[in-house]
Amino acid sequence: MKGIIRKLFSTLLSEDMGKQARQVEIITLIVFIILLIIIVGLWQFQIVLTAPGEAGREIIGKMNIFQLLLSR
Amino acid sequence: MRERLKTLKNYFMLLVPYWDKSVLSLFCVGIVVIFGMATPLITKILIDYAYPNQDLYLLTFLVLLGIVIFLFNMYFSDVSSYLDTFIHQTLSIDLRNKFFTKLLRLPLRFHYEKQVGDLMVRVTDDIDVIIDAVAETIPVVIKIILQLVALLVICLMIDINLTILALIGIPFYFIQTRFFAKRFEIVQEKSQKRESEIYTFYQEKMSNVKTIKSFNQEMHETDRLIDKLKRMFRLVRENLFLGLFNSFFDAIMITLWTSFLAWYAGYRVITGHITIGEIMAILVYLGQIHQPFMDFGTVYKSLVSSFVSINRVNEIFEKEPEAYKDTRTFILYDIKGQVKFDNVSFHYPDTDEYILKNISFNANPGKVTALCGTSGAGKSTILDLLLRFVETNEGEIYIDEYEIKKVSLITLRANISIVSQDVVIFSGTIRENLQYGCKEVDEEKMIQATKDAEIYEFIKDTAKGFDTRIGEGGLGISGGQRQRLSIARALYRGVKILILDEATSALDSITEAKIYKNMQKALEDKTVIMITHRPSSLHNAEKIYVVHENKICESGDFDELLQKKGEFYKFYQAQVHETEEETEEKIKMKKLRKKIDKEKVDKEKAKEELKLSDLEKVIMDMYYNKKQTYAAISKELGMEPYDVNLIRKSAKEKLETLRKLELEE
Repeated sequence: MKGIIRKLFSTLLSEDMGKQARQVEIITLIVFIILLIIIVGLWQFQIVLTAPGEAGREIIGKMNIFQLLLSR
Repeated sequence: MRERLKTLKNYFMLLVPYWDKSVLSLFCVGIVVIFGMATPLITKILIDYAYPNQDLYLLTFLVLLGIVIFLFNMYFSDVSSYLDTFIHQTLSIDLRNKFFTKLLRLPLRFHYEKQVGDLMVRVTDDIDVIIDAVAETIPVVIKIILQLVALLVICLMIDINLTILALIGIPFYFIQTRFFAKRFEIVQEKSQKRESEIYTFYQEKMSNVKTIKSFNQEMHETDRLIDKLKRMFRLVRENLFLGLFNSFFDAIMITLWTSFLAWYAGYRVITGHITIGEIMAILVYLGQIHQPFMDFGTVYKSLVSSFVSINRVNEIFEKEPEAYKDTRTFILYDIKGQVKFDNVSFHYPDTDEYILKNISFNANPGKVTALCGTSGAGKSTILDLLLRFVETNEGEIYIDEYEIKKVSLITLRANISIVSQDVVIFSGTIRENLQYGCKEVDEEKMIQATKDAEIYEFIKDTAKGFDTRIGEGGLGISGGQRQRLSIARALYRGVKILILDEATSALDSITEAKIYKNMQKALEDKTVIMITHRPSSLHNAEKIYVVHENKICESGDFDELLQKKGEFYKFYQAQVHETEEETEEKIKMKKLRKKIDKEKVDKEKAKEELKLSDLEKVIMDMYYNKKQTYAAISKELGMEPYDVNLIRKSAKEKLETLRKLELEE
């Protein structure tokens, strides 16, 4: 484990700073695209809200996570 | 204030080359802020929906969502830190590079006047303060704005009354921040000045330890340092108290404010206006709301303090540099090296008193021209004028036919090497020191230069030869060795004009003579201008100019000047500590030796003229050794017998004269 961390550090530090920053920018943009996809997915995904009723669990509403978080 | 903002804008412009990274970093900050807002909302849903409704599915979903948010939050937060560090560091390199370049391009006079310690503080501390302010202000301010907007939007959505109450406290916070920031600026200005003094003190004392020791002033200097440090400590304490008061008022204000808001929020729950989940979320947000204000306070104070550093750094940036960028100039290339001072006068700008008045002289290629005179006569200023460290007020200086004022400064100095009395050896290897200022690497030339400067044997005997480290943290070398290295460095550069400013002052006369003898070949086509007090060095000069009371009062070779019995005569006597009679005797001896030498040369010349030609030798051999007649000789050589006779007679006369000369000797 120690060896792996040391190797990772030496790889990270041996890289030219400017080049590394550029790589970080590209990776961040990719991560951001992944985040957008997740957000769109969450937007589409309807959460079924249930509550215990007389006939077992009853559906009290359906909404996506954003609506749920911002609802009063 | 407008002026200040304008100045600050110039520094913010340094960020322009990194706009892409700055934007990305801000973007990451934005995401982190938005994600930061999500956690209390999740808590609110858990309390208001999941727990009361026993919704295990919703609970699982929200926990998973929390993990995803945490991971993204961490990634974007780290990227933002990475990019901020990158911008901070590169900005620091850029600004230091700009400052250092400017510093090195300022006229020498500026460096004579300015204290090194003060410049050290400007190049380190002040630039750090500016970089911190410039690199951190924009991201932090934008982060604050984003945080406040997000907090306000969410709070407004939950409860308008509570949010309006929260906003009322903001102006009070700004008033107290501004009050303290003004005082921080004053303390910062005093601190930077005091720190400069301390650095200057360290620098001055460290470079003169020998003098301090010789005067037994170690304790006295330590006491002086402690005094200065105590005064600095007083300022640090002032700064500390200001910081403490500031934090105290911050904390009091924020605690009272958030406590009141917490009470009011609780009141709204009890009266049924908001749910328990909502109040939990609001309390978390209210806990967060003080952070942007704290950050704003820090940034504002750092920005205000940075004005002090900006002024100090700008003071250097605004100075007029030497004319490096003047493109309307000649380029000195492949010159002969003739130096001509034509009626040159010079005085410093702040005084009318002339340092040099109507100086005219020539220094020719292949010759050694010496300048001598008493201390303060202006000799070194002549060299400063030639190198354009200072500019002439009247008259012109020429190199070949070029007026040096119209010559590019870089090429002018590239054609002149200087070996001065105060030799500077930089920390590094001997090789690096020898090749300082040279692009080409020529091992043979370097070895020859060190041999000529009588330092080769020393270098050879060191453990790593030319790769031995000298200077700070390396091998210690004596004053004489430094001077010889410096001479070798100048010879290695191989430029046309060589200035020797008391270059051999730390050497004994024997080594000095050896060096001059060795250098003869290397200096064959070079113009050498020598400043020296040593009569032994002056002997090597073809022409000596005596500088007295800011003028050239005499010129000639060594013997001529002695015979004139003028200023040079007095100068010589003072240097060698001779009585008038002794000097008289010496002059007589010199005259006699000169006469003998002249006679010797004349005789050698005469002997040369009396040497028999090949034809004469043949005729003499045939006539005297082989006993041949004129007729036989003339037949064999294809000449008239009459001519053979004439040649024989002349050859015989020559031989007789030569014999007489030899007998006289």
